Amino acid sequence: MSGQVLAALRDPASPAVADLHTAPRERRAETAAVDARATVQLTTLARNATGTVAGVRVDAMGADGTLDPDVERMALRLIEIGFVQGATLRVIAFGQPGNDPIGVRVGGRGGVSTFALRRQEASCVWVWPDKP
Amino acid sequence: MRVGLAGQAMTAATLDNRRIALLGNPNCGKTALFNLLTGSRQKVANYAGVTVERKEGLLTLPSGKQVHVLDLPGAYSLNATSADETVTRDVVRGKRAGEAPPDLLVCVTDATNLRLTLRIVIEARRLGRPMLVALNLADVARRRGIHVDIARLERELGVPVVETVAVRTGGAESLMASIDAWLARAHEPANAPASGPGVHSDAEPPHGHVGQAAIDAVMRDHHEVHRLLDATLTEPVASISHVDDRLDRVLLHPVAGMAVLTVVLFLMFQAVFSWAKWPMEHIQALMDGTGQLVARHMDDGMLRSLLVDGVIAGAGSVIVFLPQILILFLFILALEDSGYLPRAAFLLDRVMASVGLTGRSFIPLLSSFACAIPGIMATRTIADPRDRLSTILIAPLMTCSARLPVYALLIGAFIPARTLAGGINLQGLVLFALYVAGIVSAMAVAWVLQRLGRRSGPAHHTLMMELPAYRWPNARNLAIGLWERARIFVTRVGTIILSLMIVLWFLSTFPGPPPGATQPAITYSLAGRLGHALQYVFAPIGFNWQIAIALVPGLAAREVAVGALGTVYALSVSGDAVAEQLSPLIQHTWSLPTACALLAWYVFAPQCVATLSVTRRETGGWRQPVIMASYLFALAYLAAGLTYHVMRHFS
Amino acid sequence: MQTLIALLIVLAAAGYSVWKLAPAAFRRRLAAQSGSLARATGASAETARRIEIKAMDAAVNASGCGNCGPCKGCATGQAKDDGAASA
Repeated sequence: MSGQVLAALRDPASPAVADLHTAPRERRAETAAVDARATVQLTTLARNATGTVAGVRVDAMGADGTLDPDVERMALRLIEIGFVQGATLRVIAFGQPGNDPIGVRVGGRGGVSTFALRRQEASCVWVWPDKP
Repeated sequence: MRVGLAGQAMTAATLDNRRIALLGNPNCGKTALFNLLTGSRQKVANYAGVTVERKEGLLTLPSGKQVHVLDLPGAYSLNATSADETVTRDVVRGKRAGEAPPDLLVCVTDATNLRLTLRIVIEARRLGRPMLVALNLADVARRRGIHVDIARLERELGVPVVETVAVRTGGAESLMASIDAWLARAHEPANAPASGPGVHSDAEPPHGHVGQAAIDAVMRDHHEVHRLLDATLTEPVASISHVDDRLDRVLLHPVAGMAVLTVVLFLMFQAVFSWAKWPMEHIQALMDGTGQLVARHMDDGMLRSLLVDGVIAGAGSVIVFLPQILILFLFILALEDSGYLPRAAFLLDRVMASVGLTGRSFIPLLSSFACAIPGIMATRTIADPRDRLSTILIAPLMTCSARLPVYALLIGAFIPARTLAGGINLQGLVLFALYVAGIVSAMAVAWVLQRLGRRSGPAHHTLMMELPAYRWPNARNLAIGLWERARIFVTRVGTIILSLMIVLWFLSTFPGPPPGATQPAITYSLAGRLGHALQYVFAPIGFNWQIAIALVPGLAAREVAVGALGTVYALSVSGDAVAEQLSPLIQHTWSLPTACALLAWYVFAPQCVATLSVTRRETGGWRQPVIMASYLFALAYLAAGLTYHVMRHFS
Repeated sequence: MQTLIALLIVLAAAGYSVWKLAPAAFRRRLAAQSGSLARATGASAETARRIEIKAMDAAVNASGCGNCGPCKGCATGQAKDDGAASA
């Protein structure tokens, strides 16, 4: 599992992706065109920016391409707490100095949660930003 | 809810040997539900070997049966990422040594956020154990127009589902009825694990490396939750409360938020003085009255002296501070319950990082506000050994609540109870300043350690902290929390502090004065001689020998210094006079510079032996505790000396 | 008479303080001695063993910090592990 994409970012092999694509969502009506849109990291969003989560991605590190298990665990936890494709997202606050941590509301069918993420954690979350 | 008045006519409750465990996310009202079910019949301890709290209580059901309820630490998933979650996972699987797996799992969810909180139910279902699901915050959900088709959800999940309102009396009726039903049924074969989609027999997640399989499992769980919610949930379009949004806009704002935090803390310390005055006076009067009663009814002699000067003057002078401690914790518990503390942790995260901690460690530091020990043990999660070391060395500077009686005593005696402009009382202001001084000095020391080469680099620690929805603090939770605090404090005074006071009394009374002695008896005793000897060390910073003596037992527990002063001064009174109140006594005999020097000393004061021994254990040697004690002693001495001479100069 | 009672109380308090404040290892050693002490006073081997087990249990559970709060004997918990490891 050396490092690429976890959780449904352009991973057609994962059955979950296909299912979530067809699941009804509140904001994204059409999903086919969505793939072509550019994704950005969560850390690039400004305050009050909104978007849709595209997925969690962790890049390979180290010469042998294996991931730091702590980083893997962090990515898994991000997925567990709801950063999955199709979730709606809004940045609500930044800690200072350095815009760290980032406060973000993430939600979808059934509820909205608010989490504070470090920049390095948030940088793993890729987002389709809404047009301002 | 409980068996009412009529219940007293029924047969006595029968204790069932089975155990129920509450499983669920943090912030879904699990603890409130636990409090509702068990009332004050809770036993709080620790799981062996870790700083994870173990809460067990006794639930009396309407049927008259009684069962044990275990409140498991909140967990987002059974893939554990912290000590808390590891304990929960292990207990639920029955893999925790010394803990039998629970007979019934009650999965507590937040009905207003099933998206997040239902997933662990799916995970737990795979374990195949008997299970119930509680949709908590059902009242809030209803108010928002969220509706769950319970019958359908029960069918889909294959386990009973009930609604609960943990903050309302009677809010757990359906849950208890369900538990009763299960207890009655439990001799039948256990419910077969649900065989719907997404259930796997190999429930064991990989340890260490997270594999693709684990991720797929989580995604399948998400999908299952989504499917269930599609089938059973109706919700309005707007999904988060506007009030929360507006509050967060202010409270998470870097400037406004910090201002609010400062004001909140400030008000807390104001209240500690202004609200405590009346109850404290009553407790003091009670102590005085008891002392006089004993003095009147007993002949003069050793035992009377022991009781009056040792017990009442000693331990009594500490117990007087119970109201202040309770007020402090009232604020802390209310802040905890309201959901505000994670916002404070968010604002302080960077500040904490400079001290080697994370924003999340702020919460236990504040809500414990009690001890450096949990802080030191929490450093186990810090990966870098040098970071960890510097955090351990700094932890004692974050105030421990045992300092409060000392601060309160001195402030009460020496800072006039004046009210400044805006209704701010001076005493509360000084207390606030002292706490801030502790935190600022911690940061200064961190900075110094950084310069000395112990790198305190950017925090690599995971944060991922939930900011829960705001809610009004729940009176029952507060009451139970305060009761626990009061019990802990009174126990501490009644056991270790009392014992030390008795021993101190002994050392301050023997050997007795030689015939023809002119000075108070205590001067000739063991303690008196020790005090006078120590005075050579402490005179330069303005401490008299009584203070010098009091600092010694203060090593065992900080509050003891107050009790020690009480005993020492009580014994200094020649003749039959019963000890006056300690506060006016030191006001008349100490100078203001001395009192302020003692306050400055206590900001840095060397640790109680328990903290030192924990440090020894955590760092694996005596070197670090010795360094810690030495640098704290040096700082305390310097600070006290500086304060003393500066104030002397200006008065 | 008063003096006698007072001294007894002091002894009890002193013993209690030492017990609570001593390092865990010291407590365990004391507990271990209690067995041989019981034997010396003529108790049967079984009684002595039971006394020793009880004393060891108490030694491991005692905590010097006085359970001021969230600690609640976490120091104890570690001692338990230490004790179990060495037992």
